[in-house]
Amino acid sequence: MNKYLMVIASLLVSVMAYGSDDNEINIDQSGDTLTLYIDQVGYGNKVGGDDFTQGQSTASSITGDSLTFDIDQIGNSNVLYGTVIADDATYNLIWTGDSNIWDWDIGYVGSADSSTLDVSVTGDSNTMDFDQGYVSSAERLDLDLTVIGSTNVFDVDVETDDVTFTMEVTGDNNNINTLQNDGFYQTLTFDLTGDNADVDINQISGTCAEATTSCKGIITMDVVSDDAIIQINQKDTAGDS
Amino acid sequence: MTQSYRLIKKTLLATASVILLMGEAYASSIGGVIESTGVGSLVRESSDEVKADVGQEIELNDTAQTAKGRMLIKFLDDAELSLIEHTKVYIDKVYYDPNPSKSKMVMKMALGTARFASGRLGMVDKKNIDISTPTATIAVRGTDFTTTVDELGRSLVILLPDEWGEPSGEIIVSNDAGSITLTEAYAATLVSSIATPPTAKVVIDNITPATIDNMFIVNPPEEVKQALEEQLADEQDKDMGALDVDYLAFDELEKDFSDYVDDGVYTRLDFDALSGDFLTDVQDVVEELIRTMAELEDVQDSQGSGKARLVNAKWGYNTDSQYSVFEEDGGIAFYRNVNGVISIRFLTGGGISLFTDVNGYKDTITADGGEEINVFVTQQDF
Repeated sequence: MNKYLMVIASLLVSVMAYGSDDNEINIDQSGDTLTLYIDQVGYGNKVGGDDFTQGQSTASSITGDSLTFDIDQIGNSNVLYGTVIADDATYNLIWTGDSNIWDWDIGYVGSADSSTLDVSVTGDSNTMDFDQGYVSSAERLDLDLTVIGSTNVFDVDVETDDVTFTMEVTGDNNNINTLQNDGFYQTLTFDLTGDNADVDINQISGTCAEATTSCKGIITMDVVSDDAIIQINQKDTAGDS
Repeated sequence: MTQSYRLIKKTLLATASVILLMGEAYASSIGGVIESTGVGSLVRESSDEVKADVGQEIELNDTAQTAKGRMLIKFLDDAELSLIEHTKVYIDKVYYDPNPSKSKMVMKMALGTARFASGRLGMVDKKNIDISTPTATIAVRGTDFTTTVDELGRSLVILLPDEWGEPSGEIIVSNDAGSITLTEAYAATLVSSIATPPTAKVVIDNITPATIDNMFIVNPPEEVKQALEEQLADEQDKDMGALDVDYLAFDELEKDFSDYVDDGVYTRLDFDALSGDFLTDVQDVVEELIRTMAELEDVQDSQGSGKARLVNAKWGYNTDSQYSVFEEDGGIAFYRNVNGVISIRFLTGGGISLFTDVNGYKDTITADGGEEINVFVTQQDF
């Protein structure tokens, strides 16, 4: 408990309320061993790096190692903008509601090794844009993404070595785009249940690790659908489809 | 007298307790059935037969067997044993000690095709894992391999890759006549009899674990056939050349008549008109007929109402597209392991179109007319 309080005290957090509907949290944090708990319940909850008075915000900025996130947003039209630079981080993220927006970068610059994400989304018309790695060197990602709902749009770009990516999507009219790029040991396990899905899967093996003779990607899919378009693209050079 | 009576009574009670404890220990579960389809059963040591339903416990000395069904058994150390159709495995000694060097796992692959993956929990030292077939024993230094055994005991052993396509380790296949070490993914050897050494190691191309079945020993892959032919040719060559004759070993003058009575040289005098083993030939014919009937039955099944109608592909392994197409969990599964693994299962009965554009192959496979689910698979620059 003391540790928790110390962590909270070390945060530069401002909480501002804009009317009864909007809860807004702005975060600008640096330091190791952060444990961040956020539970937002209601309509129009927002987490970002700046105020949302113009309807937009910069991403919240969090830097450090050995971080733990436990963020729940329950309600409709919630927003989470975030940029994290961290090794050894664990993320438990839950959205329950419709029309939520998640735009989250981990290691867009800097390092992002040994990340574990467990993301659960229940609702319709949600938009998710998740990036891990990008130009930085990142290794070891365990990403579990569960989506229950319809008409969701998800874009997951992972540029990390040694990735275990598990995705379960249940609902109709979902649009899913995944990219695993520039890394070896890429696995994707994808269970899709629902009609009229539009799925793009890109798995691009990069240079094999030293002393590794094979860096083939693995894509395993279960499809329960009456109508779907699924594009699977495996390459050994860079480039998204 | 009273003391003697008490001593006898104590001894009897102690003996009875030990027997009861042993009974309890032997009856305890060493694993369970975690997947089961079709017809399969477990024959207990007591000869009782129980259906191999999911959740059924595995006991020591069980015989796991399948007819038209499949079974996956998981042991307490996470070791897995999977049986495809018409397979029988005798689970002999499996016990776990806190000290892995004292734990033991012994199984006999009696018939059909079984896949064994050693446990990841390290509860049993691999040197204490003893898998045998009627004609060979397999020392486990790896984790994942299959055995296919036919009615004559001939055994085909294949080392499987791990999930990354790398060899899952090393296994040593041996019998009284020799041994061979398999170290590469899909390395295989065939053992024809206990007196015949395993064939030279071959690496089988264009297969996947899902395509290994009982037909592999009835009609072995070309690589295995070739190794077998070379082995037979070598054996026949043994006495052919003058260099094979050891003239210093000549000792005929030291023999008497009795030494020649059963010298293995077949002459007219040895002929016994009634000794012909006609039954062997008939048995071979019957066995072949049974196999053929089973194959025909499978073909009928695939063409009946049970399976989807495929275009540009067949059930099983397809040499052109390199997809393996099979039924799993009530759906259709496509598996391809070339420059990356594509494994897709369609678990509903709608029409499927699978467009594939890869090096050396470009075509569209459809199931049940296609175009309800459209999947585009491309692989580039490999």
